[in-house]
Amino acid sequence: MHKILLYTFVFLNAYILSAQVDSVISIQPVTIEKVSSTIIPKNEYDLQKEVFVNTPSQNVAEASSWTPGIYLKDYGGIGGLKTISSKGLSSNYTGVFLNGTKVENTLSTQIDLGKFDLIGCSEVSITQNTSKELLKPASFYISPTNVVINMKPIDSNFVNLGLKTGSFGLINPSLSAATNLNSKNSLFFNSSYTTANGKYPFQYNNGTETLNETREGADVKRFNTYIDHVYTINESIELNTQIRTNYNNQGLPGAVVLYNPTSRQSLKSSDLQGSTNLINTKNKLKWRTGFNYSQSSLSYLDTSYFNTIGYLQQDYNQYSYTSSNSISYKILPKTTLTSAVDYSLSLLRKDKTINRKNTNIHIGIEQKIKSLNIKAFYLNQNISDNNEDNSSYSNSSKSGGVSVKYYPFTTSPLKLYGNIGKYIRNPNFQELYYLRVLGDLKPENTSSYNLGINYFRINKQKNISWSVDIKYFNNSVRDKIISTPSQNLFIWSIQNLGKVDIQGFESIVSISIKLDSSFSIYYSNSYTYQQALDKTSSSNREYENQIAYTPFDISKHILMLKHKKSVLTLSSMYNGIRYSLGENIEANLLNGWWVNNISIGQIIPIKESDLTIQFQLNNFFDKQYQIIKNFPMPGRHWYLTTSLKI
Amino acid sequence: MKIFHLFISSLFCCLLSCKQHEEVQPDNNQNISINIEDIYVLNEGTWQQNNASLTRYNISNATIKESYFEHLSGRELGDVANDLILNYPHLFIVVNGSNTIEKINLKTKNTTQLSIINFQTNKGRSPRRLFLNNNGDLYLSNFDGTVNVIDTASFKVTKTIRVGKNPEGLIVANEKLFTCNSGGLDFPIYDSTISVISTSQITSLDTISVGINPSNIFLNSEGYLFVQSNGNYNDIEPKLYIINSISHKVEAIQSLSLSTPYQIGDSLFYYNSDLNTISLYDLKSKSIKNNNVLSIPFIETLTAISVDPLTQTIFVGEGYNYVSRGRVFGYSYEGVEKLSFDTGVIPSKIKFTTNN
Repeated sequence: MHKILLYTFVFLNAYILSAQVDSVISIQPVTIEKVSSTIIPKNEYDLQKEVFVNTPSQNVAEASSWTPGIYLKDYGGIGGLKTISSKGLSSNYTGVFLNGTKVENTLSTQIDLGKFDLIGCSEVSITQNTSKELLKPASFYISPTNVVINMKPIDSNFVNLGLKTGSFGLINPSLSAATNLNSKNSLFFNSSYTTANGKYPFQYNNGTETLNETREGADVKRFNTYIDHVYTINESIELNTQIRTNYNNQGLPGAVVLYNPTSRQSLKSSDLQGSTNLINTKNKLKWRTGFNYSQSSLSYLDTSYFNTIGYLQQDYNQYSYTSSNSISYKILPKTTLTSAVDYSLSLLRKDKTINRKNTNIHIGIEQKIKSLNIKAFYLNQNISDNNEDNSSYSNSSKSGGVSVKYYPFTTSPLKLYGNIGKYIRNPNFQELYYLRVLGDLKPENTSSYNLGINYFRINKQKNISWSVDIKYFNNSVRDKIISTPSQNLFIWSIQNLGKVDIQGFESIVSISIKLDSSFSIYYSNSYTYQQALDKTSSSNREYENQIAYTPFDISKHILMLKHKKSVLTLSSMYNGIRYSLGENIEANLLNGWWVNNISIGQIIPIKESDLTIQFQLNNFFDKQYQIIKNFPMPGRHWYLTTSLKI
Repeated sequence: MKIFHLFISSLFCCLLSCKQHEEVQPDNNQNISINIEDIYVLNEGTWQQNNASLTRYNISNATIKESYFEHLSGRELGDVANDLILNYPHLFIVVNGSNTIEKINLKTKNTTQLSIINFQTNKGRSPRRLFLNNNGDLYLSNFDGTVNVIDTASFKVTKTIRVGKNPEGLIVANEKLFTCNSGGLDFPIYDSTISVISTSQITSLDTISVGINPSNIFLNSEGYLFVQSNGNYNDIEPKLYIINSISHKVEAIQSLSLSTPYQIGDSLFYYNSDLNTISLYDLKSKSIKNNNVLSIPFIETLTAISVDPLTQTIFVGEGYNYVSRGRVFGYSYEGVEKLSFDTGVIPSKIKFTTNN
């Protein structure tokens, strides 16, 4: 019994309490006239809208998975929990920023990125230690990898009506619009409604037999809205207010357990987030000050639970208030100083209330010396929890890093770069307060460095451009928080015992060819090899084994052909073998897989408007695969998106 | 001679730890093979990994068969196996996560599956523990608050009996069914009762109050029942309740935790967490007979105990961190290692077939 309860807790907390809310909405079609016909990636990590619109990317998690080195953990189907990680590190080391505000969770740190839909997204960029974003909040420097999502309208005045249908019984109407109310006010609005039965056929093996089943109990109903208002105070200062709501009600199909009838779990959640920022990006001294409020309530229900009332319902309510301030000052022509201070108060209410006060202070400097560009950052994180009458965590830590870019030849775009940094990850509420913990927890720390070469070329006629990037990376995780059993199954010991050594290399190649004024080709490929070894203790069976759910290699290909107003895209994703548990034995082996997708889009101008039709056939070889063991992914499926932009 | 044997066995132990599948047998093993033929280990597996398994270790050949159930049936055992009964030639396994019971005939190598589902609600009953009555009926406790009676010959459910909340250990004595109603899923408000049901009339005869969270029940040769209440793992400590099986009266309460128990007649071997030893409780005298039968400081996480008194061998299951493969060790009463072999994840029950 206790083991079931414990596993229920652990699994639930990881699976659901990271707000497993997803949103599926029609993808805003690209207006081809507005974008130049050659797609030149701004840097290797920017996932331009055109690319992610034409790959099977319903949401930010899937979109991010097309960028190099990112590994998507997906529990399958429209509603499945989706998180991302990079370079062999856990998803706790990936920060998520939505229009400048960090979105996270005190309960489990990682959040379900399936929740962030792609309507209105003009840009999704994945950055490593540095980012071109100005005035980043201090919390940006906590993680080595950050997903930065900017939801900006594709145009300043438009109305777009969309309808997406397809497999899984999907019906997804959406509406987005932007308008300049007057010379000082502009407004952007997005909303989408999704309903799907979530069913799909899948195959699995039991011994020598292959069985065919249908994924049931995965129905989804979702409603999202987003409002973005910009008030221009004067030529250098603007006030930006954003409000986002998200309502989600879905079934959770659970793992495919042999011989077992379908599970009966469901999840309901509703989120509200609002932020307002005052920004000055025009002067020599740039600054941003803002405030964010977010609340999230989550209700999990299991009607197959054998307690007295006959079901298990767990309700979580989270509230968070953040004040965030950043400045950037170009003190000298080649020297820029940055500083940021964030203060946040987060509350979690379930049976009891736990709150966390978090102050982050950042100082940074960027210096250009001839063909060398050096950036250094320092971060101080201060955390103080209040767990009513029980033990409360508090910690103050310092971390930082340096990144260098060097162009050794002035006549050549060859760039050498390197980063070195230390990152501190504080434990979350689940680790501290929701399981029986023995002993005090400290934060985890990761030391990482990488070295790379980047080369980018455009030919004389400016119709062919290509780039190559190769890097070596290395991460060492120490004091990793792991749970180990004690003799008493109901009391687990959570301690900073874990150690992981990660290294690997990554190559990114892309080429863009403009054959004539109407026809262009774009191809990009990334390949990552990573070795992430458990170095916790030589007496463990897992010692020097590859840690769980870390494929040895990952690769992605995108081929895009554009002709006038038509786009044909072929995309392929590959994940190599990985293990479902820490011991690298055949019983835990998950096969590698290739999934291939095709998408065709056409814009039909109708008077002043554009009608866009896009058809996607995903996983067209009907590959049966699992990312998380016993959570089968959909086989072949399709989507048809029609949208009218006025 | 003893030292020589010790040296050889240590040498073989080193070799043992390097090999993956085939285990080399140290010399001391000879005296186990006088009595034991095959050791069967039930590996619980990790939740939702579908990796419950059965390991079979043959003493004379010193060979392991991993995934023995899959080897016999061509299909996997399922998710989270909780109990095993060996009544030669039959082996019965409860697979909690998959809501099934498996019956294996070790002579004919046939396997049969029985689904434990409430067909009115179409929900699995979450089966937990088995008891084999001397008339050939299997009694199965289910976490949905029922007990199924299963005829072992036809392997079908013949009766469904309503008992208390989340029943765990169960026993039939004097034509009465006693179930430990743990109420574990109502945590922290555990149940604290024993249901007493007539096996012939299927009527409730009594409800006995014991400490909270009762999980295991034993019977001694004089008709006394021993119920282990586990407390709440916090301020309420475990207790042992001694009950007269005729009057249903609690006659004594002892502050004891007999965890990972293994019963042979009136001897109950258990893990003593205070001393980190395998200890012996005498059910007849209702007292601890020996609190240090075997000292086990080198075992990281004890998951099973089994004893062969004839060859004086104690088998222990080592679960490590509950996610990697486990191991079973066999020791003499003096603590000399006689054998060891790898198992699946969380070896929780160790049974063996004898030569006679």
